[in-house]
Amino acid sequence: MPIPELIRRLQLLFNRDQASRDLEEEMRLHLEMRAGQVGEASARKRFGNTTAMQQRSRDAWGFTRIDDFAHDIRFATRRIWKQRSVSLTVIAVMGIGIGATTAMFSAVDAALLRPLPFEKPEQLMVVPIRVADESSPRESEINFKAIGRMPELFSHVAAYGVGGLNMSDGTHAARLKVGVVTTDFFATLGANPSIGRVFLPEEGVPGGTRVVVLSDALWKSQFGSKPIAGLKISLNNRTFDVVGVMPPSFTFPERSDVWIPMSVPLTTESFEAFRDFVRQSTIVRVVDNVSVDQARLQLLNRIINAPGQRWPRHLEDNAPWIAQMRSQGGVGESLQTVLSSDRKVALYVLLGATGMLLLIGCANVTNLLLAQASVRRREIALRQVLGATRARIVRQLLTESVMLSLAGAVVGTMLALTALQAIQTLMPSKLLGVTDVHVDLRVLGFSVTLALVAGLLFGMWPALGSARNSAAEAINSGDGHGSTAARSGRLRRLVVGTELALTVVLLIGAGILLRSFSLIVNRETGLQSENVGTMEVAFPMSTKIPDRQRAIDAIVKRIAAMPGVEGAGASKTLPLATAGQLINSIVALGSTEVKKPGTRDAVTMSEDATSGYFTALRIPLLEGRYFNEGEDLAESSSAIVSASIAKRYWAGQSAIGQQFHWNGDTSNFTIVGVVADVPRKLDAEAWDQIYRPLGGNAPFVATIVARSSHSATTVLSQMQAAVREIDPTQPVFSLRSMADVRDVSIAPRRSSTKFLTVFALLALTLASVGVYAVVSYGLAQRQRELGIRAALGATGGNLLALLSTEMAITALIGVAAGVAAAWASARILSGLVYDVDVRDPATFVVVPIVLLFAAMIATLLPARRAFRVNPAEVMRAD
Amino acid sequence: MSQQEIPPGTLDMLVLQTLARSTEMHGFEIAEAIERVSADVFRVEEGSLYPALQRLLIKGYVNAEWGRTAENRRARYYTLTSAGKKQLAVEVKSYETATNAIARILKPGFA
Repeated sequence: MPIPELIRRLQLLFNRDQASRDLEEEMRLHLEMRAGQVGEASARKRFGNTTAMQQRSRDAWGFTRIDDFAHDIRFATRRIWKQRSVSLTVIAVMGIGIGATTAMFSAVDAALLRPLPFEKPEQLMVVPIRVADESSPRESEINFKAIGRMPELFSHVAAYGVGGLNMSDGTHAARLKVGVVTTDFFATLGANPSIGRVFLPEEGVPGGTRVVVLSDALWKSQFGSKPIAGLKISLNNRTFDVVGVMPPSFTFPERSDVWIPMSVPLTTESFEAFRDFVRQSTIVRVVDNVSVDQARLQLLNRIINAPGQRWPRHLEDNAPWIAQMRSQGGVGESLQTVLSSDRKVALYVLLGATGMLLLIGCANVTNLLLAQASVRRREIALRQVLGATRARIVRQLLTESVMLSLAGAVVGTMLALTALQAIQTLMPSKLLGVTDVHVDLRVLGFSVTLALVAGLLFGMWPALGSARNSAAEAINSGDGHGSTAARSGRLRRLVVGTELALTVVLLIGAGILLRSFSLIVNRETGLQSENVGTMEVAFPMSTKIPDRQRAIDAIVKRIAAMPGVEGAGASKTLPLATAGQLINSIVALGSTEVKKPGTRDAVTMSEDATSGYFTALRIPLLEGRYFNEGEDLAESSSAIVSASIAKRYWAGQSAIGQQFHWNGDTSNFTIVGVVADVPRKLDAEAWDQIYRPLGGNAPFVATIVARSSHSATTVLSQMQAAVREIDPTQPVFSLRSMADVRDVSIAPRRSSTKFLTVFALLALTLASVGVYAVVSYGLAQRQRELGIRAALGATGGNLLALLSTEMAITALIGVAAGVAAAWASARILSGLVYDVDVRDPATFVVVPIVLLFAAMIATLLPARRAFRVNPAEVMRAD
Repeated sequence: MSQQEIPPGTLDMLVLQTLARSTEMHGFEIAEAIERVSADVFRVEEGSLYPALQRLLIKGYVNAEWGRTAENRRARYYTLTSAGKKQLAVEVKSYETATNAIARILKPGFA
C-alpha cells in the first residue's frame, strides 16, 4: 500500500465517527434529490437498505478486519473474565508448560544456536595439532607453523591453553586463571582490546618480553581502573608489563583473568609453571570463500598426501584413523561444535521433555475447553441464528484460546526468569564466560510463538466442535445431557490417554537417568573420599628440585603430625579433577600381551605421588608395596602400576619386578607395587595408570592430600596452618574437600537429572489432574444416564464400576502406548547414561505401575460421587 | 428501453470520466450525468455509487470538499486529481484492449 493511501486510511480511522456522519448526510441529500425526481416511495426503493449501503461504504475504508478483530478481543476478554476459575486454570497450566519450554530454549539457544560472540564465528575451526615444544621426545610432532603455511585455506592460526598462576602484590596472594595464547589469538577471534594493545609477534618467541593483557574485571578489581602505562603485575614471582585491557564481554577461554603470550615453540620456561603441560587447543579462521566443511576435507587430504611433512605419529599411516576422519568429513571441527559438544545431547533431550510437558498441558486445557464448550452450546447456537458465520465463531473462540495462552506465556516467562540461575548449570563448561543464559528478544519471540501455536492447538478442537453442531438441535436438546455427551466423553478420554502416554515416556526417561546417576554417585572409585582435604601449593620458578622436595616433605610431615590426621601425602594431580597428567604409551618388557593387529597402543597416564598419597586416599594395595621414604625424597626408577596394567601386560604372572619404559625413551622403570584402578572420571572407565615417586620429580605445583578422623573441614584448616607455620609466604590455593571434588566432577550430570526429574513429576501431576477432571466431568455430564441406570436397579457400586472401567481401559491403553514409545526411543538417552541399560527393565516395570496407581486414585476420588446419584432428583432436574 | 446495470468493474472508470468532463460534482450530479450521457442506458445503482466514491477517495483519485448547492444545501463536491487522471487513462486503455479482443472473437468467421 503506498504511503499517501496509508495516511488517508489512518486519518479515516481516527475520524471515523465524523466520516460516518458525513456519509450519512451525503446520502440523505442524494435521497432527497432523487425523491424530488421520482417521488419518495420510488426513491426509497431505489436506495434499498440504507444501513447496508452505509455499511458497504464504510467497508470500502478497509477497517472491517480491524473492527472484527477488536470486537473479538473485547468479547473474548468478557468471556474470560466471566469464567474466571477456568481461565485461571488454563493460564496456570500454560504458564508451567510454556515457562518450562522457554527456560530450556534459552539454554539451548545460548549453548547451541546463538552464534559465538566473535567476529564471523562460522569461520572458526578447531584443529587437532599442538604447538610443539623443544624438549618433547616426539619429534614428529606437527609443527604449528605448518598450518600457518596454508594461506589459501586459513587466514589466521592461533593456539590457546588454560592455566593458573599466583599473583602476589606484596600483601596477599591470589590464584588467577590464565589464558596462554599465541600472539595471533586475539586477531583470529576478531577481538580488540578496549585499552592499549594485544601481543606483538616478537613477544611470542622463546625469551620474549614478559607482557600481559588484563581482563576488564581484573583491571577494575586489582588495579582500580588505573591507566596502564607503566603498570606491572607479578605472576609466580615474575614481573610482567601490562600492555592492554580487554572489554568486559571478553573472557575467552574459560573466564580468564589475564592472558600471557605462548611462545612458539614452547619452552621449559614457558610451560613449567603449568605442571609441564598446557592443555592446548588450536583454532584457525578459514578464508572468506571457503567453508569449514571444505577446509576440513582439504586438511585431511593434505595430511594424507603430504610428503616430507612431519605429522604426529598417530596421524601417519594410520588407515583406521584416516577412514574414520573421512567418514566424519575431514579433520577438525567448527569452534561452536567443540565448545558445546559436551552438553548437546542433554540439552536437546531436556528441550524435548519440556515440549512433551507442554503437550500434556495443552491436552489438559483442551479437555477443559471441550467441557466448557458443551455448556456454551446454547449461546453459540443463538449467535449462529443471529447471523454469525461458522468461520466467525471459530475465530472468536480461537481468539479466546490464544489470549489465555499468551497470558500463560507471560506467567511462564516470569517463572523462567526466576529459574535462570538454575538453568545456567546446564550450560557447557567451556562456554561459561563466553555466552550466558539470558532471556533476550529471541527467547521472548520463541515464547510468544509457542503461546500462539499452543493456543491454536488446544483451542482448535473445541472451537471446531462448537461451530459444527446445528443450531436447532443445540437449542432444543438443552445443555448437552443427551447422546452427544457420550461421544464427547470418548473424545476426552482419548485426550487423557495421550497425556498418560506422554507422561510414561517422561517418567521412564527420568527414571533411567536417576538410576544411572545414583550408580555413578555410589560408584566404587578405588579410593575413599570422605574426610579428605586437598590443597595445592605452587613454588617460584627460581627453586630447584631438591628445594621443592624438601619443602613438600616438610609440609606433609607437619600435617601428618597434627592431631586426628590419619595420613598425608603429595602428588601432582588429583583423581576426579581435571587433567594434568602426562600421557604416553609404555613398552612393557616380558609382556604376555597378545595385541590385536591394527589396534593402537594403550594410552597410559602417569602420576607422581608419595607413599602418603595412597594411604591418605586409601587406594588399596593389591600386590607388592607402596613407595618408601627414600623414594619419596630422591630420584628412583621404581614405579607402581594400576591393576589394569598388570592385567593387560602381565596377565597370569606377578607384575612385581617387571620392567617397562616410555615409548620413545630408554630408561627403565621397575614395578614395586600394584594398586586398585582409580578412574579419572566417575562416569568413565579407569585408564591404565602408572605412579612414579614424587621425589626426583617434585613439580612446581603440587597437590597435598590429607585424611582426618574428624572431618574434611578440620583437616583443611590444619593443612593451611601447617604451611603457614613452615613458610608464611607460601601461597596455598584450591582448598577443597575430596567430596567436593567428586561432586563437581558429576555436577553436569546431576543438573540434567534434576531437571528431567522435575519435568517428569510435573507431567505426572498434570496427567493425574487430567484424569480426575475427565472422570469428574463425565459424571456430571451423564447424570441423566446414570439416574436411569440407578432407577433400573444399578447400585452405587455398579455405577462406580462403570465409570472406573472406562477410565481404566483408557489408562491401560495410554500407558501401554507410552511404554512402547519409550522402548522405541530409548536410544536417545544412551549418550547420557553410564553403566545402565537404556532399556532398564526395572524402570520399565516400575513406572507404568506407579502411573496406573496414580490414575486409579485420580479416578476413584471423583467417582465416589456415583454413590450419591439419586434417580428421582435427576429426572426432575432437566 | 429498460435500463441496464453498469457492467461490473467499470463504475470507477465511468465516475472518473464524468468528473474529468466537469470541474466538480456531488454524488447525485455524478449519478445523473452518467445516466444522461449514456442516453439512459445505464442506471446507477445508488448502492454501489457511494462505496465506489469512498474507494476512489482513499486511493487519492478524487478529492472531496464540502460546499453548497444552488438551493443552499450542504453537499460534498468531488473533483478529479492528477493521479485520478492518470488512473483514468490506464483504465480506459485496458477497457479498450478488452473490448477489441471481445470484438475480434465475436466477428463472424472467427475460427
